[in-house]
Formats: sequence, structure tokens, C-alpha cells
Amino acid sequence: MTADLITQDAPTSVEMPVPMWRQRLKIFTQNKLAIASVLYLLIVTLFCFLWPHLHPTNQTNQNLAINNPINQSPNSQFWLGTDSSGFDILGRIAYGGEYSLTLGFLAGIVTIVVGTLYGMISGFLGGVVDTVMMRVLDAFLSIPYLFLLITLVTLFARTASLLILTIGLTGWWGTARIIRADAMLIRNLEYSQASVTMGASKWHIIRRHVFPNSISNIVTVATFSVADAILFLSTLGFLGLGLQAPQTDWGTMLQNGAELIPNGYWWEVYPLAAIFILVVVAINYIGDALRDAFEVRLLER
Amino acid sequence: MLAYIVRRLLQSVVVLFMVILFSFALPYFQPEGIYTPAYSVLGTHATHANVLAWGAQYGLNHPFFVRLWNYIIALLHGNFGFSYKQGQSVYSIIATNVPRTVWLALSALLLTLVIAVPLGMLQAQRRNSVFDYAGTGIAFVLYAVPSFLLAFLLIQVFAFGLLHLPSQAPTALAPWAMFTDPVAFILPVATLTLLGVAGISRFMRGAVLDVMVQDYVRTAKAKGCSARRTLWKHTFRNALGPIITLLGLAIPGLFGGALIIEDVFNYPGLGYQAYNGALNGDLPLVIGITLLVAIFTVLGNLAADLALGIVNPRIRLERSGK
Amino acid sequence: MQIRKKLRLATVVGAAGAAMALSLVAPSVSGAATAAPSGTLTYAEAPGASPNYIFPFMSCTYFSVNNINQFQQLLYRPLYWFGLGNSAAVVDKPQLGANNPNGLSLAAAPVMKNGNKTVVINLGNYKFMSGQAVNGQSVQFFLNLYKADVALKKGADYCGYNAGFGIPDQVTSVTHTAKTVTINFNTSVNPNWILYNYLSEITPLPTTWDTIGGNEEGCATGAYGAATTNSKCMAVLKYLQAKALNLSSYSSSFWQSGVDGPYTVTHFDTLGNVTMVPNKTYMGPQASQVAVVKEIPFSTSTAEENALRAGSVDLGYVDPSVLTSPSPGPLKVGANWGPVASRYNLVTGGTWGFSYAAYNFQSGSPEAKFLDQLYIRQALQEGVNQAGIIAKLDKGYGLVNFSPLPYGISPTLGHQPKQLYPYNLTSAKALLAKHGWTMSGGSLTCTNPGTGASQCGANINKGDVLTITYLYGGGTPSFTAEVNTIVSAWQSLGIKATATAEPFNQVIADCAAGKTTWSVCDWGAGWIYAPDYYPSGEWGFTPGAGFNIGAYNNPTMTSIIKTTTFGTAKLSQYASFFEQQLPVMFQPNGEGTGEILKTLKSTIGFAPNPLQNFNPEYFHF
Repeated sequence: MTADLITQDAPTSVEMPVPMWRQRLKIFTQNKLAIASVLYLLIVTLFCFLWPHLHPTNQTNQNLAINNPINQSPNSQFWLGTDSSGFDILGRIAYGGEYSLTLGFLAGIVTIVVGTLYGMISGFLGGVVDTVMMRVLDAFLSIPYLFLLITLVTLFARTASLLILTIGLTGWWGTARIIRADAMLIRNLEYSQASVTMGASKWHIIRRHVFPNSISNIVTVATFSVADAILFLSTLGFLGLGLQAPQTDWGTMLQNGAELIPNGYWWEVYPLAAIFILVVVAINYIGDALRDAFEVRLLER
Repeated sequence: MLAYIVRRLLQSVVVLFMVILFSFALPYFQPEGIYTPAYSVLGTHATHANVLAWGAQYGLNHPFFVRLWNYIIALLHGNFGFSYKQGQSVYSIIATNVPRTVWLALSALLLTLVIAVPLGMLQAQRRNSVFDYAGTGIAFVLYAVPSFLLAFLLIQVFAFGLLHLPSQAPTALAPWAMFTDPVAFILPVATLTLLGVAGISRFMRGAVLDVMVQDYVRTAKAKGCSARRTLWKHTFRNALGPIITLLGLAIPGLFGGALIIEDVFNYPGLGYQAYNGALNGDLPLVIGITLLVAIFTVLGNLAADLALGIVNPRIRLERSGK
Repeated sequence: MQIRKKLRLATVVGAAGAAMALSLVAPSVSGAATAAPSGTLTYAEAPGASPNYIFPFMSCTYFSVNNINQFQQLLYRPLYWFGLGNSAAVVDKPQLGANNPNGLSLAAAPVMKNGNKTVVINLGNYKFMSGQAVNGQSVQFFLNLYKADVALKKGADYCGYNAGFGIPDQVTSVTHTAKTVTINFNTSVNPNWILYNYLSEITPLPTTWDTIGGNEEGCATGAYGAATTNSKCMAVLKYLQAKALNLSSYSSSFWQSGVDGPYTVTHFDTLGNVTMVPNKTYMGPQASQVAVVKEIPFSTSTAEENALRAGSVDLGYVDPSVLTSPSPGPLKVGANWGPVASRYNLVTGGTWGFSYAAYNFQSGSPEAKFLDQLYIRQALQEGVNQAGIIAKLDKGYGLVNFSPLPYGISPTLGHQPKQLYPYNLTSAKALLAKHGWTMSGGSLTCTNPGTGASQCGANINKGDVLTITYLYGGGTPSFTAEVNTIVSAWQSLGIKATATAEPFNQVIADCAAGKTTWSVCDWGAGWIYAPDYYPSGEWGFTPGAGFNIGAYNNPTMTSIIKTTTFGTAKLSQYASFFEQQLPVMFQPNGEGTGEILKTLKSTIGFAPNPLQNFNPEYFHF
């Protein structure tokens, strides 16, 4: 329905002082599934970036690729078969994965940076600035994200950097809201007020109080942002608006494979689908585990 | 209360103005400027004079602010402009497609709530049970499946494998097709619902857990309220707040998500029209639909806030005290 | 010079020649007793392309296959009918005389007089549903509207208009009697050119449309070109255009009164659902044998393929990319797609057009100096692996293309195309080396500048790197793969080639707007010679032509083209010169792959029509 659902999770309270990092790390590492998720992500990432060097396959020269048999089922030469353009699928999963993971990660970073800055400035300054910034945010939030994304990528050429910026710059609205709420909460906390009366500068307050308290939310939301960015990139791929050939991404590959499901070419869609889904699951699970680790109430117990 | 509503409505007008401003300004940044769509509308053989004449027909020759002003004035008369590509007013396209998308999205949303809210609550209540883990696992996987892939898989399995359900919703214009041919809507609605349940059940579980640890719930338990009574009376009421807010915010996502479903299941609606509009450079259509969804969202958020006040009277006090 | 031809917008010839309308081989006069029409024929519209305009006098916004071939021409027949069965340019002429049967065309072959300066049209025995005969006045009505539009609005309302050429700009007068129309030109015209490109576009209009809401306005009866006629016609035109915007009025008696074709509309909606029933008063050679024709819209070709799998359409299409076994040869079918093979037969056919990418010769383009060299164009063409693209990406459903005249489709207009530059990377490499290009830093660099036979050529300096920027319409996987096949082959020669994908409308905007940021532009649709069917080159290869987007200018080419339009020269000389000069990059012509329900019958067979015409009256169950 909407990818913001998980990121806009129920508000977490930040009434307690920041607990120790080590304690948090301990909670996180006690979560075996979280560790498994981290390991899985690590393995997939290593595979994507190293496999092309261990077992080089042609993934860019289409004129050579059409000499291969197309839609070939897995065999000793092509371990996961070939796709409809003649590319080796195992190599292509790694090749497309490099782009999907990098783009997702960078877009997530853009999202979190922009969203955090916007939310913090708005929440902390308050007053007229806050009102104006929030109305602008409301305007963005009332535009269907996917419509905007599609319009942008149809208006402008689709380079990798443009996709990162588009997904990143259109994904921060939810983040900004969450961060702003934190900033406001903290601003209204008595100890912040006390700092002000004691003559501390506003920037000092942001650095010492607002930011540390928000960091748990920022880290958690950042994780979800990366997962969402990967999902949105795949949706663009489905609509034929993903990365340009000879580059490719998992969404484009999934789309090509999904069209051939009726032909029974399972190797063109199911292996990648499994890898893809588990990657998103793993990232989201890590986000969940991080939130648990940051959750003050759990520390009490 | 009335003052609050009036203030919110005024804010909404400002928000809508910004949406218009934004969607009007964006096309100016295209490589060929706002005349870019001319080539896809008129075909490749249009001469420069054709393009200019076409632009004049749509008032593109006027400066930005004149166009903006004219658009807003027309809008106040209920005129959303004229589609570049389809030869109809944007209003008539919207009027045809709104009911179709709304039926689809609403039925999926209702079904989602009916499934996800109890599911999330039960999961929270039986935290760390097998049931909770299973629910969480399924939600995580569903949430990670790209919607188009889920749709393709459901079609393959349930349309051409097991149940022989229709693989597409009827393209007939009648908005009541959902009632005359409900079987055809099983797969599209199921896809949307599964995707929705994935998010909302997780959210509900979190919201209930948040409330459960709060003091008054503990107090209620201490006072000897039955677990069930505590859950439904106190926890549910308090956890409902975030859900209602979420629903208000989820409206744009509903339309966005419907886009993929409409595309795969061949059920032209608002999302599909917006997508095709964007591909064809049919900007009046895209802007019109975006604006309409924005209006829905603004109204939805307002309704959510009011509903919140009813569910939880404390909210009203907080807001008026601000 | 500009002769406009309708471009196949948005569909990719190479990859998804998907929406081929289906019609039949060679018409025959139906002597058989006609049974009562029965059954419903369901026809799949092309993805995202549904009919949305009913009035045949239309601007470029509506000038498309889905409006013309798949909708309007089923209701309103053009004066001359082109394209039946697997042939494109057959004119099916009626035999004159009161008791003789009609043909598909509404008139007999035009008679040229006065040294090819006058054409006389003799009308057959058709009637509109309003009861009015399709007579001289109904033809003059169309011509009067056309003239008025040109006089008052520079032809902005009719997409087929070519400033300065043919009808109406070279017409001095039009007169009519009940059964004849006489058109006088200010110069001699090539009879084929005027028939194929101008008379073919005339749609006779009924007097019931000569109105602005009240009585007869007088556009149809006015003198051609007179100021009063023009102003009356303009008012009528405005009225009809406004009425045509109301899609729910398409099934009204007003629009049905002009029907002289085999069908009338009973339902039409904005989503693209069209229902038609037989016109009981149709006087053509074949009345409808089915009781209802339904056209239904599709969002994507995958959705349409799902409909085929469910058996809910009778005439549909598959994208060659899903086919499992390749075609055994040009215009032949291989095994059908597994999921639908039990219900449908696969058919294939060519297109009356050719697929190409344009080169940018504009002087401002930094890469034009390379493309100016014939040897470089030859090397580029030799890098296009047409056979490989067809065999793998199109599953064999494509035709190797090397001529502006449609190849493999009759009639060839007296020309046998020759493939002068087949795929040959070795030869391409040698050709470039011979002209002073050597590899340096991974790219071909000019080391022997000058204009001699073994030098790089004019304007190319020492140290210049051979660079090509290839702009194409992205979004379709097989077309994207096709472009990348070409570009990666060029790269392997050492050419610094880059491919940039844009959405279709962006590509067109960037290529047609005189930009210099591209050197090869490939919108993926090439050119289809319809509804002006004469495959001459004035539309794109003479200076200033409407679709000469790369500003190609070769005086020899220009003069050859002129002889094919105003003189009586055959097209063969033009085609031969074109094949040798390579003003464009040829790429494979896609075939249209259709699916036909097995229980559907026809006495004369099935074949997708090269002009994408749709003649459902020949089908029955």
C-alpha cells in the first residue's frame, strides 16, 4: 500500500536520557535474527561486488550476448541460465545488484540527510518558520509519491545519479515529520529550556540534546529508507523507468523475468526474487532490531 | 472546535496552492520547456508553427504567473483544464476514473483494516509466541515483495493455476462493476490487501505494544481488569489514534499503489491515467489528478484529526492548548 | 518540401509491432448468399492506444492507427481503399454502372486528363445511412472544408496537410456533378503520387453534417475556395470539432448518419470500449458476417496476453519476446506461444514502411562532420547486426532492412532492393582504417586528416575521436536490447558510442526540435507509409521537409525525389540511390504477430495487414 507505513511506526517516546551505546549493541547482538540479517546482507553485498571479478561474464556487450542461447535453462556453462537478451543470469544478478544496492543505499542516505535537516530546523526553530516549512511538507505529503517519481523520471533523463536524487529527494517527507516531532518534543523538554535560560546557544542545544535524542530515530528510519529506496527502484524498473542499458537493476530484471513466468522460465525470476525479497526483509529486520535496541523501555527490563 | 476546523481548512487551501505551484513550475525545467509535450501530442511531423499554434491553444504562450492565475480561476469554476492527449476535459477523465479507483482502493483498505487491526492486536497480546513470529514473518515478506511481482505471481497461481479466477478486472465503464462482477475483483483487491496488511499489522502491533506498557494500562491490570477487557477497552482505544492518523496520511499511497494494480490487472483508473499521462507528457491530466489526490489527502487528514478528537478527547485539549 | 506521413507513434516496430490489425488476402466479390450475421467478434486494442476521435477531418492530435484504421474507417470509408490482406497498396475499384457491385473504394480509378493537370473521379453506388448517395457533393464537402481550413487557419485542423503540395494548395478548382468530381491542378502531377497520397485521404461527408446546429449551412454546396464558402465551412468545422469532443455522442444518430461503411457504433466510452454492429444498408462487397464487433482496451501487452490465455479475445497479439520457438523464416510462423496454442493460431505480416534511426547532419552538431562522410555511414551500417537482432531479440519475426521501399511486401513498385552494406565488422574496421583512423587510448582517432581518398574527410582534424551519441526511446526491453546490440558493436570497432534512453515523447521532442546534442536518433518506430501510401522520400529527405529532423541535404537526392512526385518517374531510381547513400541507419523491420481464435473462419485466409487495416466484415465463426 504505502512504503511509508513501516517508517511511520508508532511514535517512540524519548523521555529517558540516552543509554549507553555498549548496552544497545549488546541488545542488538542478542537478537540472533538480526545478526543473521546482517550476515545475509554482507554475503549478498560481497557476492554482488566480488562475483564479477571471480567469475567474469559479459554483462555489457549486447552484440556478443546475442551469440549466446537466449532463455537457456541452467547448465554447466550458465549456472543460472541466460535471460531473454542472452546474458548470464548469475553474473547479471551480481551486476544488477551492484546498482540496486548502491542506488538504494545512496538514495537512503540522501533521504535521511535531507529529512533530518529539514525536520530538525523546522522543529527546533518553531514559530513562523516551522509553520511555513510544515505547510510545504504537507503539500509534498499530499502528492502521491509514485506519481511524482514517475513524472520526474519521465521529464528528465534517467542517469544513476538522477535516480538517486529523485528517489532521495522525494522520500524524505516522512522522515522529516518524524525527526521534527522528536526535535519539538526535546525542545519542549525542561532541560532544553533550562539550557536556553542558562545562555546556551541554539546550536549548542541541537548538538547536545536534540541530535543525540533523535539519533535512534534517525538510524532506524535510515535503515527503512534504504529498504524503501530499493523497493521504489524496483517499481520504476517494472514501469520501464529503471536504469539505462547497459546498466541494469534488480527491478528491471524482475520485470523482464516476471513477463516470462507463463513460459516457465523459472530461472529468470525466482532466484532473483528470493534474493531480492530477503534483502529487503533483512534490511527492515535490522531496522526493527535497531529500534528495539534504542528503545528505552526495553532497557529498563 | 469550529475555529479549529476553519483554521485547518485555511491551512489546507495554502497546502493545495503549494501543490499547484509546484506542479506548475516543474514542467518548466524540462529540456524543451513546457512545449515538450507538443511533439508527442502532435506527432513527429509537426512543424514549428504547429507547435506554437498548439501552445497558444493551451495558453502556453502566456507567462508563468498568468497561466497560474488562469488555472486557479478556472479551477474555482470546477474546470481542471483540457487533456493534451485524450481530447477531453481533465474533469471528465477524472469523473470517469475516480469511482473505479475509489472502489478498488476502498474495498482493499476496508479488508486490510478488518484483517490487519485484529491481527496486530493479537500479535501484541501474544508477544513472542509462535503466532506472533509467524505473523511478523509473513508481514515482513509481504512488505518486501514488489507489488508488481506479487500481482504476477497471484495471476500465475490463481488465474492460470489453481482457481481459474479472472486475471483482469472488467474494463467496462460502469462504476458498479465491482458489484455486478465481484469475482473479477478478487485478485486485484487481494493483491492490494496483502500489501496493506503487511504494513498495517506491523504498525498496529507496535502501537498496541506502545500503549500496553503505559501506566494506565498497568493500572487497569492492577485494578483487576480482565486481560481481554484491558486490551479492548483501554489499549485498543489508545492505539487507534496512530492508526487513524496513519490512514489520513496513507491516501496518496493508496492511489499510488493502485497505479501498479490498475496497470497489471488492466483496470484503468486514476493511477493508470496519471501514469500514462506522465509518459505521454499529458501534463494537464497529471496535474489535475495530482491535485485531486491532494484534495482527498487534505480532507482525509482533517477527517482523521477530527476522528482522533472523538476517539481520544485529550487530543483536542492538547491542540487547543498549543 | 514537406509531405507528411503518419508515423507509427509509441509502438516499436523492431520489437513490438504488436497491434497489427488483421484483414484478409485478396478481396473477392461476394456472390454467396449471405446468412444472418451471428456471434460477437472481440478485438484487442493496442496497449494504451484506444480510439478517441470519430470525425475523419482531424488534427495531428488524433491522427493515429487506433482512430483511423481501427475505428473511423469501419464507419466512414475513404474515397480510395488501400491495403487488403498481405498487400499494402492494392486499390480495390468498383465497376461502374448501376447494377454492378461496389468495390471497397467508393470510386473508380481516377482518370488523368489535360497532361496530368486534371483528375476526374467517377463515383460508385454507395449510400450514407442518412439515405443520401455518396455523390460528388459529399466529396466536395470534404474538399471545401479542407480549403477553408487552409485559407483561414493554415491547415492547422487537418494533419495530412502539406503546405504547397497537392490538395488543396496546388488545386485551382473543384467542380462536381452527381456522379463525378473534377479537380484541376496548377501543374502536372504524378498520377500515382496524387492518388496514393491525396485522393486516398478524402473521406466523403454527408449533408447532415453541413450544419452548425440548425439547417443546412451551405459548406457542401458552396463554390470551392470562395470566401463565403470558406467562412461557412469554418463555422461547420468548429461545430463538428466541438461535437466530436463529446465521446458519449459517438453512438448518436448524428454520427451514424454519415456511415457508409460496414459498421455503426452502438457503444463508445472514454476507456476505449467500442461496440459496433453491422450497417444493414452497407452496399460494399462484403457485409458483416458477425453480429457484433467489440474492441476492448488494454493497459499493457502482458495484460492482453493474459486475456488471450483466458480466451477472452478473438483477435489479439503477442509480443515476439514471449514466443518460445523462433520463426522458420521471413513472414513465416513458428510454433505458437504455449499458453495460448490450444485456442489460437499465430499469424505474422510485414509493415508498409521501414524502420530506421535518423542521423544528425545539422552543421551545429559536433558529430555531424563524421556522419557527413559516406564511408563512416557505411561502416556504421556494417556494424548493425540485423540478422542477430532478428534471430534472438525478435525470435525471427523481423525482416532485414536496407531500403526505403518496404521489403518483402508486395507490391515492390518495380524495384528489387539490394543489401549493399550487410553486417560485417571486419569490413567496417578495414574501411575506417583505410580512411586514416587508428586506435589510440581505446578509441578510433583520426591520424590522417584531409579530403583525399584515404583520409578522414572534410572538417575532421588530426586527433579527433570518432564519437557517436545515440538517443533512443527506452522502456521496451527488446528494443533497448536492439539499440545496445548496435551500440556495443560500434564500440567494439573503437567508436566512442554512447546510448541514452529517454521516454518516447522526450526523444521526439529532442530530435525534432533541431537540437544538436544527438547524432543518431532512434524513436523505435521508423516510418509507415499511411494513410499517404506513396513510398517516396519528400517527407524526410529533402531540405526543409517536415520530418527531415537531421537536416539531410543532398542535391542529387532532392532532384530524384522531385521526379517521383511531379514527374512520372518510378521509385526505383530513388530507392537505389537511397540504398547506396545511407541517409539513415537501417534497422530490422519488425513483423506484426497476431493471434487468431481457431474457431474463427474466413473463406480467404488470414494475414496481418501491412497498413494495419482492420476488416472484420470478412470474419465469421
